Order: sequence, then structure tokens, then C-alpha cells
Amino acid sequence: MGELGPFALRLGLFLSGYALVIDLLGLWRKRRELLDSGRNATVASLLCLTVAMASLWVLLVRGEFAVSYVAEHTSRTLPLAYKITALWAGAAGSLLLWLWLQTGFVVLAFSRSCGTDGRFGACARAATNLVALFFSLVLVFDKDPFAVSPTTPADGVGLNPLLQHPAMALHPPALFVGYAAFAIPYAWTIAVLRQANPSEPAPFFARARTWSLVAWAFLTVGIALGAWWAYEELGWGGYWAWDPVENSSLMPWLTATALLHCARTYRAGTRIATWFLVLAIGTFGLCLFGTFLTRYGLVSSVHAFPDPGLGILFLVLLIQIGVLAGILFLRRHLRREGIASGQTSGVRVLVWNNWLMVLLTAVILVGTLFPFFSGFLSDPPISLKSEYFTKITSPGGLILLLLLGACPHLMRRGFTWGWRTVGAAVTAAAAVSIWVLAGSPAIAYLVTCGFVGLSLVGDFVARYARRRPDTARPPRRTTLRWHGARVVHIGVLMTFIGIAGSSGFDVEKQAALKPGERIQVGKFELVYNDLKADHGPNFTAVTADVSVYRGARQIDSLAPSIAFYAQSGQRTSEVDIRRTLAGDLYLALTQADSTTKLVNLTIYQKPLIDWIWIGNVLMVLGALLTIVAVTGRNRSVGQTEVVEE
Amino acid sequence: MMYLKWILLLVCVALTLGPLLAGRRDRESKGGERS
Repeated sequence: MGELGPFALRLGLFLSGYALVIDLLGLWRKRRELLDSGRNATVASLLCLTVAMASLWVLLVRGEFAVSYVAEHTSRTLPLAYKITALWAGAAGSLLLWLWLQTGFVVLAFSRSCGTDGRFGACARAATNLVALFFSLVLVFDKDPFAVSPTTPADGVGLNPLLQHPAMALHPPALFVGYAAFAIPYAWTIAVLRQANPSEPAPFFARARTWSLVAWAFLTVGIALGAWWAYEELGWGGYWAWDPVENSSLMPWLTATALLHCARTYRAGTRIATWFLVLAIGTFGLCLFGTFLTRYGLVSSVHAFPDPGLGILFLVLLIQIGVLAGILFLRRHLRREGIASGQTSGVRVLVWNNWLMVLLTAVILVGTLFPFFSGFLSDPPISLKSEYFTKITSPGGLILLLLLGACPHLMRRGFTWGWRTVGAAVTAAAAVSIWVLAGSPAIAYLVTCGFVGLSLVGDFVARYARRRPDTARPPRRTTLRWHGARVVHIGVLMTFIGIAGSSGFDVEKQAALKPGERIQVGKFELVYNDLKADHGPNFTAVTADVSVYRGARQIDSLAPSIAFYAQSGQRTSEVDIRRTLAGDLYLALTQADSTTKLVNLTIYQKPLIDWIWIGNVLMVLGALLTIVAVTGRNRSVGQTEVVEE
Repeated sequence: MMYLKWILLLVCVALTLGPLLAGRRDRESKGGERS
């Protein structure tokens, strides 16, 4: 395996380069066999990457510490599950996973029946093979996951104890599936931009839309898992710190959300089509930029994995894509004969929504890069605290929430005076008054959530209770898509309720307790009983036994602990949480003395926080429903679908 | 392990060069028909 992996990786590099050149040559010479060879070379490169991935997995599981990557991310005592997930614990493995996923998605999306002459698929493949070639070069010449160290250590360093959590095992691959899947709408856009006539219907739009949905769903899963892990594992009672790494996944999520809304009303040659094309390239660019940001160490982050060499290479790739897209857009702009009107009031609302998403992304981007730019003027550089992001994004979030209540109706009917339009105006006035006069953004948010909830109920009532019996039932796929979108919106609403409740009405208390002592936190009384020693496969721990009372009745017992990982010398706080829909009672053991049994506890009350996780699950479920609906429709329409709605 | 490398290489060569050879054969047979 030690020889097969590097060989497969190098062969994969050669094949992506070959596929890129032969596809471009085939496009230039208009020769079918060249395009077929390019397609097969992409499939062969996927085969090589699969072999390389499998080889790395075998090395990780077998604990071949002669390989540096294995020694740096696993150890003999590491549980098997984390040996498997160690594949994406480091930069090299993550990049290999991203490359493998991206190549796989490209094969699925653009290697089968791409029109009669196959040129559209070839152009899309060339766009992604450019990225794949770059990733492969980095993997072979800079970040080789199979590099052998001069001396073989007796044991590996192991995985950071903080990362030994189920959510953290799944968070990176979910993000990478999202990032890799965004390569499909990007590649589709490059192929569309190459078309001679900008008003020509865009072929295979359904594939770009489906893959955008898949990418968005996985990115949502990845972000949600990251937030859940931070809440469960880091012991600070929060889930989002506006860290550059967190921001770098949120930015493409925001632009992708706008992208999906554009996909709904896409029509070639219109303003929305231009939005779709720009957002598709922008979203994939932001995925690459996020990786550049976190790997280059441009700004300091609690996620400590900067690697300047790798970062600068990502910047080079990003500039290449930017220049390529810029030239194609310019060429298209010079050729077009004016944008098709299609600017109904519904489309105008959609454009507002897009601008708002882009504005929020820009604000987050500026805040994230601020320490870097401030470094030119001040030493040390000025870092913006999370309060900046909260303050600057909160008004935007509220407008977004308001649009969530009003937009679906406005997009269908345009600007008509109905209860939703009046309700939106009244809610906006009430929310602004509460925010400004009472100084409570959380209540302003909850009031707006109430309006959005009513609007969503109104949608269901209009669809089911008010439908006339003689009206024909809409097709099953349309129904499924409608429900998918509503489930996503309900999920977003629940997430906003959770954010408003947990950040606006949270309580934090710190206490030093001896066994038998009590403390009152809100309506709960906590009794610290005892401190117990415990141990796991690769750690020892001390656990505080705490009983939770409500009045005279014991309702729960919690056991927060501190774990010591001897191998790395690290200690982690393992929190314990009493969860209810009304809110969480969150206990973190910050210090413990095993001889005197004196403990320091940090206690948080987080109202409505679980609504965030339920909301996130609903968002993903809704996206899955929509994916089922659109893929079913694609099949029924046929493989060579041309969308001109 | 050596034979696995050769199998992989062979499969990849067959996949990438196959369409080129098939295209050439097609062109030759069409040329033959025309003559």
C-alpha cells in the first residue's frame, strides 16, 4: 500500500492534466474521439484517486507510522473510528478527499450523455480538471499524504482530543462534499459562458440546479455539525464565535442560498440568469477562498492549521479562476443584444434578496479580512470581536427574516395589498421600535418570527383549506418541491427563533462548590454530590455528580467532567446538558481538585437553543425533498433537458 | 503490490487511449469505404 498510493496519486495527476489538454484540444478541433478520451481520462483519474484514498485508509488503520501523515494524525490507542476519520484530520488528507469527491461528482454530472456532440460536457470537465490538476500538483509536490519520514516513530502523535467527537468526525467531510459539489454549478457556468449566443437556452441547467441543492444541503449539515460540536465540546456555552474559519463556510452558504433562489426562476438571457452565473462562480470561489484563508493564516483563528505554502497556491488558483471567468463574462457582455426584460415585481423581490445576501457576505468578508488590512496601519493588527459581526449582521438578518415571511407571496403575486404586505410593514415598524426604544434585538427578532410563522401557516391554509374541489391537483413533483421549500423555510424560522432565544435571554453563572453544596440557577437548584474518577481507552477523567432539582423534586442528574489525554498532555472539558425544547441547562466543569473534591462549575441556561438544531435538520430534510422532486422531474423530462422556463 | 500498479496503469491506458484508437479505426474504415 505504501507504494500503490503514491503511484495512483501521480497517475491521477497525469490523467487530470491529460484530460484537461485533450478536452481543450477536442473543443478546438471539434473531434469527438478526443472528447471521449478526455471523458475517459477523468473516469480513470477518479479510479486512481479512489485507489489512493483506499491506500491511505489502509495505512491509517494499520498504523504505518513510517508515513508522516499517519504518525501525525493517529496513534496506537486511538479508537478505530477516529483512525478512519483521520483521513481528513490534516491538510493533505482533506485535499485528497475534496479532490476525490469533486472528480466523482464531475464524472456523475458531465461524463454521461452531454448533448449530441459532447462539447458542453467537455468544457465543463475542463473547468473542473483545471482545479483538479492544481489540487493534484499540490498533493504530489507540496502536501504528499504518502510522504515517508526519515525515522519511524514507535507511536503516532494521535488526534487532537477536542476533535475526538462524532460531530467533528463528520463535519469536515460534510463541508467537503458541499465544496466539491459547488464545482458542478461553477463548471456548468464556465461551459454556458463559452456559448456563442448569451440568449441561447442553457443546456443541462437541471444538473447545475440539482448539484447546487446537494451542495447547499451538505454545506448546511457541515456548518450545523461544526456549531453543534462547538456547543458540546468547547464548554463555553456558545456555538458560533465568528471565527475566520466559521465565516469562511458561512459566506459560500449565503451566496449559495441566493443561487438556489435564482435557480427557481432561471431563464436564459435574463437578469436572474446573470445573477445565477455570477453566484455560481462566486460561491465556488468563496469555497476556495475559505480554504486559502484558513490555510494561509492570513488572519489568526482558533482553528490553528495555517500553512502559508498551501495558502498561496490556493490564491494562485483563485486568481486563475477569477481571470478566466472575467474574460468569459466580458466576451459574453460584448456579444449580447440586451437583457430580456422579464423584470416582474416578483423577480425584483428576488433581486433584493440576492443583494441582501451578497451584502451580508461582503460585510462578513470585510470583517474577516480586517485584521489583515489593519496590519498595514497598526502593529499589532486590530481584530474585530464577535460583537462587530453580531451588530453588523443583525439588522441584515432581521430584513432577511422579514423577506422570508413576505417574499414567497410577493414572488407569486407581485406587490398587492394583502394581509402579508400589511403584516410585513406592521411587523417591520414594530420590530424597529422594539429594537430602538426597548433596546432588545432578541424580542424584535421573535416578533418578526411570529409574522413569518403566520405567513407560513397562511401558505398551507391557502393550499389545502381554501382549495376549490373542482381545481385540478398539481403534479406530485410540484407538490413535493413546494413542501420541500416550505420545510426549509420552517427550518430557517426555527433556527432564527433558537438564535434569538439563546442569545437574548441566556444566563451564565460560575460557582466554586464543595460536595453537598447547592446553587440556584433560574428555576433550577443544583446540588453538587461528589467527584468521581473514570477512564476511557486513551484518557482518564474526573466527573462531578450534580443533581438537578425543580422545587423539592429531583428532575435530572448531570455529570460534567474533565478528561486528561496522557499522550498529548491535553485536557478537555466534557460538558453535560439537560435538554428541553424550552431551553438547555448546560454544565461545564472548569476545575476540579481530586483531593479536596472542590470543583468550579460554569452553568449556562440557554433558552430555545435546541430549536436551532431541529431547524437545521428541517432545512436539510426540506432540501432533500426538493432534490427528490427536481431529480424526478429531470428524469421524466429526459437527459438532454434544456431549461427555458 | 507491483502487479496492482500494473493493472491500474493498464486499465487507465485502455480507458484513455481506447476512444482515440476507435476514432482512428472509424476514420480509416470511412476512408476505405469512400475509396
